[in-house]
Amino acid sequence: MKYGLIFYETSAQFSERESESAGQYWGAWSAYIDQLDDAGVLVRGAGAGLQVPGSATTLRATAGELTIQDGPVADTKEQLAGLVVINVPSLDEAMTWAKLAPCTEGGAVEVRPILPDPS
Amino acid sequence: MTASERVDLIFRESYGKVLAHLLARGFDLLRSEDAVSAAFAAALTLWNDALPPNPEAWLCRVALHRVIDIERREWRITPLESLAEAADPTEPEDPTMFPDERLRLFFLCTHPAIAPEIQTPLMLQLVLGISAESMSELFLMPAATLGQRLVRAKRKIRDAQILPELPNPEEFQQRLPSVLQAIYGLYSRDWGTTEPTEAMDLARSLVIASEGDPEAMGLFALLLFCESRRAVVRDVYVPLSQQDPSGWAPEMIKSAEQLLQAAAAHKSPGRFQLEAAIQSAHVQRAFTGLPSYVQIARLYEALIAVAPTTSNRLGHVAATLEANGPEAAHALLTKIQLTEPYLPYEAVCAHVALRLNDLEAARKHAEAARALSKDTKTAAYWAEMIQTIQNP
Repeated sequence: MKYGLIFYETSAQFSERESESAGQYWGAWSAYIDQLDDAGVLVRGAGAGLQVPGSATTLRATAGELTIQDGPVADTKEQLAGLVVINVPSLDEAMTWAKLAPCTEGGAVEVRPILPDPS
Repeated sequence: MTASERVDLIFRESYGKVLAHLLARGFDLLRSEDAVSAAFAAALTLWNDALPPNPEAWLCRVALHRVIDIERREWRITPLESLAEAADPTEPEDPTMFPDERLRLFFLCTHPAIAPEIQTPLMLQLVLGISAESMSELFLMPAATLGQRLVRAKRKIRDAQILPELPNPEEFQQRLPSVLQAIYGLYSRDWGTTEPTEAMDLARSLVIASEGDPEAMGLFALLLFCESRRAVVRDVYVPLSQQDPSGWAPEMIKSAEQLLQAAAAHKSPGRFQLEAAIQSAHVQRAFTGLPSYVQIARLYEALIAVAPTTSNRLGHVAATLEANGPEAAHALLTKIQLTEPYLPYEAVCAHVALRLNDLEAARKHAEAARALSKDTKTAAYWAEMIQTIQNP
């Protein structure tokens, strides 16, 4: 069963990327991804890390009328930071991996089952 | 008993077991529920005159066939392993494996990924087969809303693949109180009507599954104490203080005492251990006159500190009545606020009023108690009490 681990970070966490502790920040993430890969649960090539929310552009159309907004969909405390897909037998195991993510403390991780292959 | 009444009775006892049986074999929750309903519907038509020798095994087999049928029709790929396993004729039909499967169903409902407020309704539905309509009043929610939320929870269990497994030790501890509470609820439901053997089996399994958790042992001890006295009150209602201890089951009392001692060795008291300790004190007092009601009242104080329910506070009042007299008991009673009519409250009020020699109030409360009695033997007890008050 495949699950998306969807990572949310606070603005403080996002700003670590450009701070003096940037090395620590990126180190924690790559160690985490390596851990998933070493355990054989990571679905390779199915995830991505995202640039900061300020780099986003949001598009909406109402009755053909397009509006374009500078910034992410919603102005919330935690913002989408990236996602990976893992393959594990149950929600409990997915949650065990989610707990280990660097952003869980302070930010959040959403565990969402992936739709089955349509084949 | 008509055929449909018999099926009703078996439904009460077996619904959760049959469902757990399918889930333990890896079948989807929503389809399993459909299959269990279909099996009971089949029983209703097919069990005209005679029950099969083992109704539960019959229901399990029919439900299993049915769920495989449903999967064949709905799934593009039939899971071969589950089919092979289900068709295996050597598969044991040992009823002792049921408690463990049903225990897993209880733990499934307490999974932290399921909203806390829907966990109890979900347990009632999955384990006891109670419909959203019958529960809506209990949970103060319109039946349609409750029904939708139950379906949402079940879909989540299916889609997110929450498995009916016993959790790891740390989480087991966190989820244990809800499961203990549910088993106690199941015992209370069956106590007056049928043999509550299922709740007893579950409580025993939980002691084993939890590797002797003190509260699990406390609950099992409590149920054993209650069971030890059930024969005495089977036909007529007799208050505990007036029961003849020679009618109690000594073996159960002995087991309960041993469990309670083993639990106490952990030095981690909790609600169920305290309730069992109160039962133990009542039993000892009946045989030896010791411990005193003063000590029983103290145990109630400790219990109220961890579980300040109305029922526990009324137990405290009853013990205080014996320990410190009716004035002290009356003072405690005035602090209890009820949100709805409650038989034990009226019962304690009647006894306190009698001891205060307030016959008018005693009669009033005894009549309220009679009106609230749900079975004939309790009603008969209160009718006799009213007679005695009127013609002392």
